[in-house]
Amino acid sequence: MRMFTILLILVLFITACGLRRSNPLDPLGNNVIVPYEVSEIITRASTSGQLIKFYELKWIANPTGNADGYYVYRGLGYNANFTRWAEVLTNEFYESGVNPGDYYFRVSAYKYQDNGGKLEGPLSQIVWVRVPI
Amino acid sequence: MCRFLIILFILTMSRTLTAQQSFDINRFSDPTKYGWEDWFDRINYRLDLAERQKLLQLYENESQRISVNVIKSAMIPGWGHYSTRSYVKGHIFLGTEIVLVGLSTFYYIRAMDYYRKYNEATQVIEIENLYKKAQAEYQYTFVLTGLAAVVWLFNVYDVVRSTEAYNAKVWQKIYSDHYKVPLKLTPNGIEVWF
Repeated sequence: MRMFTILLILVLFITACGLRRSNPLDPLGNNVIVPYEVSEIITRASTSGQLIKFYELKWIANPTGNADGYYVYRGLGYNANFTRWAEVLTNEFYESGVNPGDYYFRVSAYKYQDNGGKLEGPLSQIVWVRVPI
Repeated sequence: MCRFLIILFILTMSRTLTAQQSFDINRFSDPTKYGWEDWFDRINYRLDLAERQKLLQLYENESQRISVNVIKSAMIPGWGHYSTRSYVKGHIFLGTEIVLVGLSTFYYIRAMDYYRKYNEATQVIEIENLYKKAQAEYQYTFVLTGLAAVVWLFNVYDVVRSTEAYNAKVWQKIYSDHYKVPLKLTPNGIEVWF
C-alpha cells in the first residue's frame, strides 16, 4: 500500500511537471486557424523532345480563410530530404528550364494568424513527376 | 543591648556546634555505601573508572561524529562512507549519483533543445512532434532527478548506520586491544602477544 502511494505520488509529480505550450502558433492552447492538408495534387511535365523542360503542379485550393498561400517542397527521391522550393499564393506551381529527371513534391498551405505568426499546415502526400529528355 | 548581643552570639555558636555534631564523618566516609565491600573494592572501582575514562578518551579521538558524516554525504554522496572506510558503498553511491545526475542533465539539455525548436517551429505537425519530444525528455529528466534524490536520501540515511557501525568497531577494537591478554592458551598452543 505504501509502495503504491509512493508510485502514485511519483506519477502525479511527473505528469504535473509539463512544459508550457508557449509557442503562439501551437493549436493547443491558442486560438489559431490550422490550414488543411493539401490534397489531390495533379502533376504535369514537358513531353519528350520538347525544347523547354518544365513541370507543373495543381491542387484543390483550401477554403477561403483557411489558407493565405502554399509552400512547395521538392526532393530528388521518395525518401530524400524535401527542401522548401517555392512559395505561391495560388493553387498551382509552374517551373521551367529544369533538367530532365524525376522530381518529388509535397505541398502545404499556410495561414497568417491574428497574433502575427504564419502557421503552416500538414504536408501533403508525396507526388512524383518525370521530366523526360 | 550588650547583653542581647552576647546571648545572640552564644545562640549562634551553639547552633553551629549542634550542626557540627550532626555531621556523621563515619557515614560520609563509609566505603560500603555504594556497594563496595571494603577499601580495596573502592580503589579497584576507581582504577577501573580511570581505565574506562582513558578508553573513552581514545574512543572520542578515533570515533566519528554522525553529524559530520551526514554533512559530508549530503554535500558529496559517498564521502561519509569513505570516511567510515566503507569504500564499496562509497563507490556505489558516488557512481550512481554521478550517472543519474549526468543522465538527468543530458536529458534536460536535450529537452530544452527540443523546446527551443518547438518555440521556433511554424509547421503544425512539427510543432506537435517537437513538443512531444521535449516533453518526453523533460519527464526523463524528472524521473532521473527523482531517482537521484532517492539515492541521495538513502545515502544520507545509510551514512548514519555506517558511522554507527564504524564507531562500534572502533570501540570493540579499543576494548579488545586494551584488555588483550598477553598470554593465551589456544587450541594450537600458547599464544604470546607483545
